[in-house]
Amino acid sequence: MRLQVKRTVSQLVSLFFANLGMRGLKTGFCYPFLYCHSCPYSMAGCPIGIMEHAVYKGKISLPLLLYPILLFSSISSIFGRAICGWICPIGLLQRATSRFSKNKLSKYLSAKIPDNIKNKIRYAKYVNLILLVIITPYLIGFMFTDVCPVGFLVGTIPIGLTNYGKFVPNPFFLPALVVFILFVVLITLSSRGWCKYFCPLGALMAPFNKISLLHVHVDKERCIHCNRCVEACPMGIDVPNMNRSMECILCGRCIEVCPKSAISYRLKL
Amino acid sequence: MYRGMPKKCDKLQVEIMKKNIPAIIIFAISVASLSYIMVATHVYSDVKEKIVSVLCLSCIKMDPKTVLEFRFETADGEDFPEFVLENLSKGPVFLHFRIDVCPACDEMDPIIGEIFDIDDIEKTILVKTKNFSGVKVTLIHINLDHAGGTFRDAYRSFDISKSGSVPMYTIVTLGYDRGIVKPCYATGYSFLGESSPVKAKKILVEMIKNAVELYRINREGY
Repeated sequence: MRLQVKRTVSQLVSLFFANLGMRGLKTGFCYPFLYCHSCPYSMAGCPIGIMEHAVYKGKISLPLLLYPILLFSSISSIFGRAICGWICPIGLLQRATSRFSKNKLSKYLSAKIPDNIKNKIRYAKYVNLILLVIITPYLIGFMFTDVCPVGFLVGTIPIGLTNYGKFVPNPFFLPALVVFILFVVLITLSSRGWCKYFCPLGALMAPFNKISLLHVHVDKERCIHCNRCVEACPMGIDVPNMNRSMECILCGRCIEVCPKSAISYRLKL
Repeated sequence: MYRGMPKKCDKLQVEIMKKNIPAIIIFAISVASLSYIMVATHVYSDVKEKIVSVLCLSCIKMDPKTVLEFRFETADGEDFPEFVLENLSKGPVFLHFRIDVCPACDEMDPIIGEIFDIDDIEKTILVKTKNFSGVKVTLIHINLDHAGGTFRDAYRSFDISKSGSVPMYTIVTLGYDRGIVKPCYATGYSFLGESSPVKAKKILVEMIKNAVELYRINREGY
């Protein structure tokens, strides 16, 4: 089975398990990816939501704060950011929208924005994590999940559709709708735009890429610098020189396209 | 630590092994701490009861459409909660449900406070009586994150949308059903379909007035 087919299967299976709440299963587990507990079929808590609950308005609950952090550190110390590439349902969505990101407009925009600016925007996800998930909920009660586009996608929209006519938008709807529209524009114009620039969970996992046991290895002696891996990389990484990049989601696209099999997964124990 | 390694193992391999040590240490510490937290604290039940099961309507970004009609049958088919019936003998009972982390609740708390003349409503359970046109209305403010089973059961009994969401307001009064005076209730949520807490206040006050009127008409037969 091709690597990308395996990925699709893995993402669909995780999407299925994320929605086991439709069978009435509501648990106290934490999703190891970005998925909202306001989804009518959710079976676990959103990691971002749990962290926000833990610090909301200065009332700190250490076990609640550590719960998602420890979950991610235990998974990511082994697999790095593989969750983004193999498990996350929003990653699956972005795989579907990535074909639109190859249109003329996105190529034009991509060419217009200098690489150093794009690289700086990547830090926005770390700002999101620290500012909107920890600091503003702690200080003023404003939370990332108040405007989270993923919550809007898997919570608000399905609830509105499955209870058609029974719900009406409240004052939180409009700002969230605006952010959601921007999110849709982002992921259609930029391949993996959400993962690259804004996902706070990506920010939480990214540093683990530097030490994780599983990583993508490039055999530089075999590399012929054809740059096919760079073109295929949805995260826009310079693969031959990436040196365990924090942006790598271990999707394996580079491994598949390399004509010399110079790129491979490595699990070092 | 590397004393037992074969001598032919060169510096590069040692370097790679060294690099894997932090990952193994972090993994071990994380798994051990996570296991401890799951076993020794209430984190699992907290997430299940406070985050997954009861949703804040600011998280959903929509409110259940409010039709403030009085009903006799509870949402779960159970009897009216005893603590509600006890207070109903004095007058209508206004139940206000919230959870800890809920921006919509935070916005509506001062409105409930204004209606019932309360300065600080940030308490787990709060009971206050206020006179409305000569009839005593009892406010019972309940934070579900800290409330016991009785209050959670009461919440389920009055959650007509079955969305498991807060803030939720229920007013219990007396109604006339096929020749018998019985307790009845109306439930509303969040901003009650209005665009702001101030507009929602008008509807809440109207809801209380209707309940007071019903109580005045039917209390003789209760």
